[in-house]
Amino acid sequence: MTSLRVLLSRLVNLLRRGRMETDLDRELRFHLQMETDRLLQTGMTPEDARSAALKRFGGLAQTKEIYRATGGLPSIETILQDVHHAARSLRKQPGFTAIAILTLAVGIGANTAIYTVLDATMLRSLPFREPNRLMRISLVTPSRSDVPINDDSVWSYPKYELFRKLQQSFEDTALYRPGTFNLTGADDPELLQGELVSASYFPLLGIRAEIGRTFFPSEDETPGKDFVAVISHSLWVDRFGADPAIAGKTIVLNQRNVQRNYMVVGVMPAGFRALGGPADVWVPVHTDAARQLNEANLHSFEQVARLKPGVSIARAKAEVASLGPRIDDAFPGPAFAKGYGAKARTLDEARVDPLIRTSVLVLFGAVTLVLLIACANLANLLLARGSTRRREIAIRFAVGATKSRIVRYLLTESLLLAGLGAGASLALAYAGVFALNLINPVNGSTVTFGRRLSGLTILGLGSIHLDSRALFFTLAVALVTGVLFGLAPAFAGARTDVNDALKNGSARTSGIASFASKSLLVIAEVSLTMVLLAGAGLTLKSFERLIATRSGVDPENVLTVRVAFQGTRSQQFFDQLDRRVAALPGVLSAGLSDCPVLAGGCSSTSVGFPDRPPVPEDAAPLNIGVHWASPDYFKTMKIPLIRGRWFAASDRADSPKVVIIGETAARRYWPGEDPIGKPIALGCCGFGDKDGAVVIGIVGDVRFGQLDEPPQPDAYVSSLQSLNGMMLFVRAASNPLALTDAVRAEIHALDKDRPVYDVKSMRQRIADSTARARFIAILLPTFAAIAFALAGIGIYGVMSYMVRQRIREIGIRMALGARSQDVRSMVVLRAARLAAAGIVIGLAGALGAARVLGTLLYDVKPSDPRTYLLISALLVVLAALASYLPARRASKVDPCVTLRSE
Amino acid sequence: MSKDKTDVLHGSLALMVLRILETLGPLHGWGIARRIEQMTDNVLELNQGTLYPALLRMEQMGWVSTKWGESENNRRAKFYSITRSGRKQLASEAANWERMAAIIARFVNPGEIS
Repeated sequence: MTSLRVLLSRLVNLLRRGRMETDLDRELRFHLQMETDRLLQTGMTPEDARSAALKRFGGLAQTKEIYRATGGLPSIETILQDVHHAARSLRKQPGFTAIAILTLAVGIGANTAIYTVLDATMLRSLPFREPNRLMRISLVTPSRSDVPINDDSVWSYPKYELFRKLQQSFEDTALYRPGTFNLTGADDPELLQGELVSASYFPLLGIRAEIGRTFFPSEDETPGKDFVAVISHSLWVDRFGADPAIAGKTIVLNQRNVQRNYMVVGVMPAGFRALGGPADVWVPVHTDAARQLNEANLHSFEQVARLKPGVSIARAKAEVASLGPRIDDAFPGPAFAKGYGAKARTLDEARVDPLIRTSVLVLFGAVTLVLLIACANLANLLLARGSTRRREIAIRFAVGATKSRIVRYLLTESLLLAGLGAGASLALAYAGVFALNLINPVNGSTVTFGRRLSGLTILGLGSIHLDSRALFFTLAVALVTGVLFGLAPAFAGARTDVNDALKNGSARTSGIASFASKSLLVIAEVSLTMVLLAGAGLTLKSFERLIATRSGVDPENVLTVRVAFQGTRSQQFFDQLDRRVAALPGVLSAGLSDCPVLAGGCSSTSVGFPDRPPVPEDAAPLNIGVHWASPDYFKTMKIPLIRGRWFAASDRADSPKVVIIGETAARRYWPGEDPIGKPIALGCCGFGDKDGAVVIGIVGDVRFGQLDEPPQPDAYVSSLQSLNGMMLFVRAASNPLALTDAVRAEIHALDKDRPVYDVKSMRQRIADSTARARFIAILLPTFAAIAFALAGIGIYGVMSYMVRQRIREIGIRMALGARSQDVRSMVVLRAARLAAAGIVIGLAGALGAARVLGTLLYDVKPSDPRTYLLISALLVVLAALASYLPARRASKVDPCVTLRSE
Repeated sequence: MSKDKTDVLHGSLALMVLRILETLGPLHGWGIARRIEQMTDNVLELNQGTLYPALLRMEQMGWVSTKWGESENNRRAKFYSITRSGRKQLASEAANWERMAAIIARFVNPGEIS
């Protein structure tokens, strides 16, 4: 009540400020006259009376200042005044201001840009109802010697059903599994990414259909009974012309080579992205064949659940972990398939691939360091500037400014600078975000249907943009920055000794103390830069090793095209396809295989050796990657034949089964033997124990997984003897993408209902597979370079300042006979000593930070001594270079001039 | 600069001003300052200037009201008079002060502690 009244009265005063001033003047004049009159009556002379009255009054100016502070709104009024003064003083020194704003723009801009990535991948809440109550429930695979434990594995339908029945923590749970659907009809065939989901999926996420409805529980109970579908907003618009009466219409979908009519029951709202990534069609889980749903050891579904109100995340996690063994016990199976556990994690924990999370956090750490270095530089600049402004500040003190007022004024100046820097940083951040989208680490994996990054990364990324959240972040950073680099100089300013400053005028006295604080800032800068350089050096070295790693194929001028496998007469189709494409002009050769290199997610199966004693039932099966390749595939990809022979056109379905193996498989499964001619049994594709398959050739290893994973044992079967999803590889004479239309036409001439998709050059695929590594290998060195430049500027600034401060001393030294080269080396050595101190401190920090980087590095140890040696040398050279100009200036000092001038 | 000093004075200064205005009626700033000096026998070294921000503050709190008028020697002067809420404030401040003084007295006079 009272404070409101005070505020109102202050506001009124603010509006009639002029009136308040004249009133105050009149009142004080009256007071002084009365006092003077009184003193005159005691017999003083008029002059004495007047000055005694003033003395008894105390400082007139101070009184007015305090009076104004009480009467007006100090926060608004003096801030406006301070901003006005600060702006004027910044305008007076355009060079200083430009450097400061530029430094800040770079520092803050980099932060904002990386913040947008952080926000998109980790911070922004997921677009579902109460997303913090959603959890992802995974199976944990049994521990085995040859395969690492996967604690984020998928469910089988029977295990899911049991879990759903036993659990107490969740309101509801839902299943989903990605799948591809071939949509045929009047228009061109289209391959759609979709999901098979349980009826609980949409209600659990809190998503309602925009048109129509989602699935009834009754439509998800009996296998192969109800064929209903929900489609995406974009499919509805693009394919069905936003038909308002779409619900109830029939579409034709082919899934797993089964073609059926589905009734559309609903359309999703625009922008809805499924948990498994972008999708255009959803069908109930029970549209799947019964055998997919009854097999307890057929794991393919992901599970999401919503916590009951009042149940804590910790309790749910504990319950899920305890249910794991109970579910495992409930299903019989071979010993190697036993020992599953279960694990729950929040959707937020699961949303981003751990490697991407680490990358983004490392980068965020890096830009924070850059900003800190920028702050150190600015603090340095302001301190140096402060010592030339002591007179101005002393005068402000003398006319009645309080200490807090001076601090406030100097801070206003820093904040104004920070604000201007933040404004300029937005342009940089905008460019940065644009560039980030170009090297988006998940670009590569959003389209490859075969494999995705673990986690729900796709939900967030792809939408990196500057929005109000980013602007708010920029503002907050500017504020913190302004205070951070402004506080020390402001307090240094407020400590100004009025008498001393006014008497001397020059900046001589505060020299030693402030040089010490400046030296500390330089040491801090160098050590922070060291941390960044170490990260950059290790990352670059790792990336260099990564791209030098050979995938095992020659990617030059190869076009890769996926062709839908769903369709009729597939064997004839594929038998003819590569021959017809190979005959196109500009094509050197063409081959088929089911899986591109470096994409992960290729098939694998068990491998057995019919000529050896049978292994015990309970032993874990040996694994081998299996690939379906046409005879010309190896030639097209230039995979070398080490021994034996290629597939031939004569190896057909009715001739003996033949297998080609990779070198790693030969070494691992036939150590010290010649595999050629040996029998082999594969757990798939009609190459079992009794089929009498024989190894006919050994080829060079190919990395089908990732570039940073060693090659795995691989086996190839001929696509003429067995068939799986197929991909076309075309080696062109020149630019492979130019062949796209011709190849597409050739495919459609053979079968007009077969969608062609995911057309890319092999080079592009390899680039995609290194996207994450490249993301950090570009950004970290960029930030390190910025830090390096800032540190150089910082050293230069401090050394110039030192030379200016000690110009007298240098003059005396030279008068006493020091040679200019002695002076030069004195300055340079001084800088080198500061750098050395920074390097030593930075080394400790860098070694710590590199440990965090560890999981992102390929073939480089975080403590790689050569990297540290190199960057230490770089920093010493930087210090020498940055101090050379000031050193030269010092050596040109004319003793006569400097000694005379003071 | 002299902020610490005025801060300490604020509480007791308001009490003095209010009491003076209550007994003497409307008075201008100089009159109040003189009266304080007389009542304290010039023992309290008051910077007369500090009075004015205090008066402004009291006006904002609604304890005093102001009016321009003619002084005893026919000059324009700003007159301060105590308001109703000023009287209330004075009563509670005075009671406070007495209670406080009594407590302090017990410490100053150690014989009475037991």
